[in-house]
Amino acid sequence: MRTQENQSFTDFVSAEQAGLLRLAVLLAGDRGQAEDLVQTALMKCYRHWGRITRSGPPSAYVRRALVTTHTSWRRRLSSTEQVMDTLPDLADPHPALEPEDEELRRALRALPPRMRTAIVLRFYEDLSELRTAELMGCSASAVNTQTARGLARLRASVPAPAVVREERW
Amino acid sequence: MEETELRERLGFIATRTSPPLHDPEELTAAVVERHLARRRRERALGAVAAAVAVIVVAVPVVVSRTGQDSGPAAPAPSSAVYTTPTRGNLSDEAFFVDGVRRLPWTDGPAGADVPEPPLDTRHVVFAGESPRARWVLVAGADPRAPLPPDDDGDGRRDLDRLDSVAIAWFTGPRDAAAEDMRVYGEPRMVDADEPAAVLAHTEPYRSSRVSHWIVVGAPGDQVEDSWSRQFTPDGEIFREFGPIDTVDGVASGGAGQVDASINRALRYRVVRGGTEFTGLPETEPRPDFVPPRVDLARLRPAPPPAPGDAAVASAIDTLISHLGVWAEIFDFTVLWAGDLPTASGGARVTVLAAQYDDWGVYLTGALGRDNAGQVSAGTCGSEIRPSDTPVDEMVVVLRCGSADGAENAPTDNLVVVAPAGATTARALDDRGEPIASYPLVDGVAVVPIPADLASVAVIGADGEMIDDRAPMGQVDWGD
Repeated sequence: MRTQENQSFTDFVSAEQAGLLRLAVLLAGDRGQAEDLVQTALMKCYRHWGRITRSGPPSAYVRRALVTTHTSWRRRLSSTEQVMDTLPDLADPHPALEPEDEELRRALRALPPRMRTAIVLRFYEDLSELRTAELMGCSASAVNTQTARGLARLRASVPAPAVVREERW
Repeated sequence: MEETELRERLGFIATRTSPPLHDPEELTAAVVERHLARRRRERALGAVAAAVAVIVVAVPVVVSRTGQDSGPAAPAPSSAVYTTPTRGNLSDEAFFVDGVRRLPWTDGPAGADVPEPPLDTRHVVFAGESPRARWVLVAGADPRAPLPPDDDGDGRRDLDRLDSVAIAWFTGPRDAAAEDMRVYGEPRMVDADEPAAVLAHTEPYRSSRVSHWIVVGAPGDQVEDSWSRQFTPDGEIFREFGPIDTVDGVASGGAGQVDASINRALRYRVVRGGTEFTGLPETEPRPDFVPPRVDLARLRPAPPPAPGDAAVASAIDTLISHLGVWAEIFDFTVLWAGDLPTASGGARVTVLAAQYDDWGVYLTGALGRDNAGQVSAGTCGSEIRPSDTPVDEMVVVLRCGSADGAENAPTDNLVVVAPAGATTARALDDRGEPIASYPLVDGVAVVPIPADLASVAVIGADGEMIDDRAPMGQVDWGD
């Protein structure tokens, strides 16, 4: 039994699960894929958990696994995506969101996968361009381009909310 | 929509739409179950030529030929990797096998901080002899966890009751006695159904140019290997796997040695029924490694020799170790080499390109710092580019730190290397707006890095932009 490593892994899951699911739901675009994405990333890290924890705090490593898993999923689906301009919008409006945020969510899901990933890492995770490039496995200039184009698309399709939002979480 | 507002709204959407949390224990259990049930798959990308510069040599005779032939077989029980009777051409040497089983695990490179199993849980999984060395794989129970029972009453605890085991490789010269064997690499915990592999450097290194490897799976497993990574002309990294002779779940062989201090390129894949496991063998750095001699072509005159030039050998070692090829296949070109401003000592940057055939071009900024006589080697960045642009027409942008510990020393430099005819480097922010402009001398500028730098546009004598590049990141070598 790898009791100590399992306990360390469970402790990590307990502390980081919420953050990973939030990142995953923005990257993947729906809850089901987000859950599977998190499980898959955790599974990839579990195998090397001892080594990961010995080399430092595991949070960054797991996030990297999550992003690379997401982008590799997208690569596998790319032949499907090439024939569509946007992701199929299968999800109903999310009841917990106000209309303008629902609009932003849909606009984000409609971005091409790598553009969406760049936007999420830069503006949700608040990562630098260089760090985002490292996670995405591309150059910082590619991140720069994807981010600028993604921002332009979001701005074109999403109006600003009419009122300033109060703190809601 | 401003960026601040976007941040806030993304945070809100993530919080409100994320899936409900699972109980951490249940999620861990689900992850472990998936981990055990579905091995990570790895597939080769593309179907380009077989690995170059790799010479597969005769399979050493470490595998007992009395076992079953390779080929289709029923999937083995998951626990069979470490509980099957000892395999290998030394398995009948009972005195030797039992002697190695009793050896301590704490005198290897990893020292005492290893999971040394209690003696009554240890089992010799494999014992074999190649033309130059003996190899033994020992498995046992994790000493930190509850020990398994001895249900069959043979005086040994039952390893097949465990879902993970501790393993260690031992090696020694040909004909070595048990007490002359030593721990090789680092003992570690593995899943009970996970294969084990070792990659060793056989002596004499330089004359034989042969490495030796062994993969131990469960009886019925088929082993595949991949010795090298390659670049496509577009600069993508890929590797290929091919099946190798597997007897009784064990595969063994030799291949051309890599011109690097350690082999980070080799991967093995074990196919078992519908599942696959891909891994990196246990290995140690080569103790007497001598960097290969390479010829460096130069686009610009070389600066006076400096201790920081040693970083070039380190950069080449990094490339070769990840690719698993011989250094001599590459044409190495120094686009520029020069010094960063530092308060003391020196920091030498060498912008290096490596090209082979129609592969993509590997670029790196090798950084060597001289700190009071101690040279440290690193890199300011690395990248693989498509091969459609000649090296002397490439634009390279690097962010190079030259911190030497002294106060007021500049810590971040922008290094721009462009075609010789380029005249100006224009620093741009993330909106593409110019924030600074620098004259290029012989196509090169080294300046303190401006705040808010996103990319650099290089302008030619005709006023046209030659290229626009962000500072290099680091190559992701993947699995």
